Amino acid sequence: MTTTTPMTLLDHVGAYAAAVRAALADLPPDQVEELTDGLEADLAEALEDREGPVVTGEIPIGRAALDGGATAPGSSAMIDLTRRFGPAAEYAAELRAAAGLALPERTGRRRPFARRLPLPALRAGVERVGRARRDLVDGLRASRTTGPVLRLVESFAPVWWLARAWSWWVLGVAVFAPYRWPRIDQYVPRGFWDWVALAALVALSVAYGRGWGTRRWWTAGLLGAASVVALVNLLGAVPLLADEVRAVRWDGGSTVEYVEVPVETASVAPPQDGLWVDGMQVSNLFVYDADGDPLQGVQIFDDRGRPVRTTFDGGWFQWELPGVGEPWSFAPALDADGRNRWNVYPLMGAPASAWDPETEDGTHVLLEGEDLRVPPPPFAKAPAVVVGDVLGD
Amino acid sequence: MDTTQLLKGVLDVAVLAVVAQEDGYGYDVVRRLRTAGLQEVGEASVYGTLRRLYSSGVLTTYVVPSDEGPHRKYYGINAQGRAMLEAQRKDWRSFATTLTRLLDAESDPEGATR
Repeated sequence: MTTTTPMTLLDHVGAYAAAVRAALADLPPDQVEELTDGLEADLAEALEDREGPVVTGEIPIGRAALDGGATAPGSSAMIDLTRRFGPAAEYAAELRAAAGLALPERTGRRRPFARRLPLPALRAGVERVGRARRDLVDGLRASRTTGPVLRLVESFAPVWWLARAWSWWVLGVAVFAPYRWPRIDQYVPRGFWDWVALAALVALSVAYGRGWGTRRWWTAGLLGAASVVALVNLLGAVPLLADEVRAVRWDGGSTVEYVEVPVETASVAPPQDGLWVDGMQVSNLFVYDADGDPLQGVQIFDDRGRPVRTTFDGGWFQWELPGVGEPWSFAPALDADGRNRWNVYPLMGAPASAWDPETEDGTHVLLEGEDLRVPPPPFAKAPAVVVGDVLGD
Repeated sequence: MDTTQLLKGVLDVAVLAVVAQEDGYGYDVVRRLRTAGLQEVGEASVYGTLRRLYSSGVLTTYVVPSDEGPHRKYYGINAQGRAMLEAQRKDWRSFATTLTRLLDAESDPEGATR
């Protein structure tokens, strides 16, 4: 009578054998192979052996099917092989011991750490936690449901080693170079020494992951604590890095920066006052009548009645006049009430040397014997125009 | 008495004896040991013992492929193994005689009166 389809059985057996091999993983591959070659066949046959003795709750599949009958033979019911063979880790340990091979480094490396702890209670506690953890992992590993998941997770261990090294590196940067700019440089190595440091940390992390430094209790404790710190830091650093990467992508290669750009206010923003012709500020206006003769004392207002002024310096500024060697300063005209009028053209003035440089009351006055005069006009006479011709027609 | 502890010491010779009768693969050896009365023999212990005896050069091995499942690894004894078996058989007989005599004397201190 066939009790179980070979395929169902072999799935279970394969998973269990894989768990046993995983527990022997510290041995060289050829030794593991030699130790477990043919194991699947032996396990499968042990399961199928109806005459096989029941030891401590083990249930030969054949017998279970015969006795129970509830589970149809060949069904894909879950079979817990640990009930028949015990936890895979223990099975592997028995295999290894009988073969005369050293016990796994695992037990050899964790025990001294726990045993060297100062307080007996603490020692016992740490050992109990370690044992519980081992039992849990072994149980998960041996189970057909969680075994493959656990093995899958475990196969990502090297990824964690790299992540841990990077996390250490980020912490190092935060401690030794906290103001690196742009900020993404706090997360991404740039430059030779960055890479050297990161490579060294990767080497340390991978070596630790492969068991280096776990024999001495203080290196084990130090690296263990550093791993916890790295994990916590990783949880914070990854989102921050993601933010920086996003910022770089959106800004086209740089984070937001404030850069001082020199702005020439005068050229960009037109002045509020003054007269400009062809991009040049005008200092004075010369007025000619319809016949082309120069006029003096002409008051100019705009269409709203505001005086049109060319200068706002109160007479202090020195203006370069075309074709005149010495700069001039101008003075306002006075109206009948004695008020200064700056919109009376042409502005009268005098060369700089005609003004008193040091007056006692700070006013701008001419030296003795000097008079205000009309600056040189552009033309003695302008072309004559006919006013009202257009209107007259 | 914890017979598993006793078994540990004599498992080598027991396995050698079984394989000397006829070539066998892992579980086959286990079954024959159990049939012979060593019920509590651990399967993994037997497999490990077979591997170790092979490594030390007293067993030969060959693989028999199977159409239906995983291949089986058979073990056979060689001349060196037979010599070892013979030596251990003598050791065992001597040891067993000694221990039997010791235990019998202890359980029956006044054996002379019987």
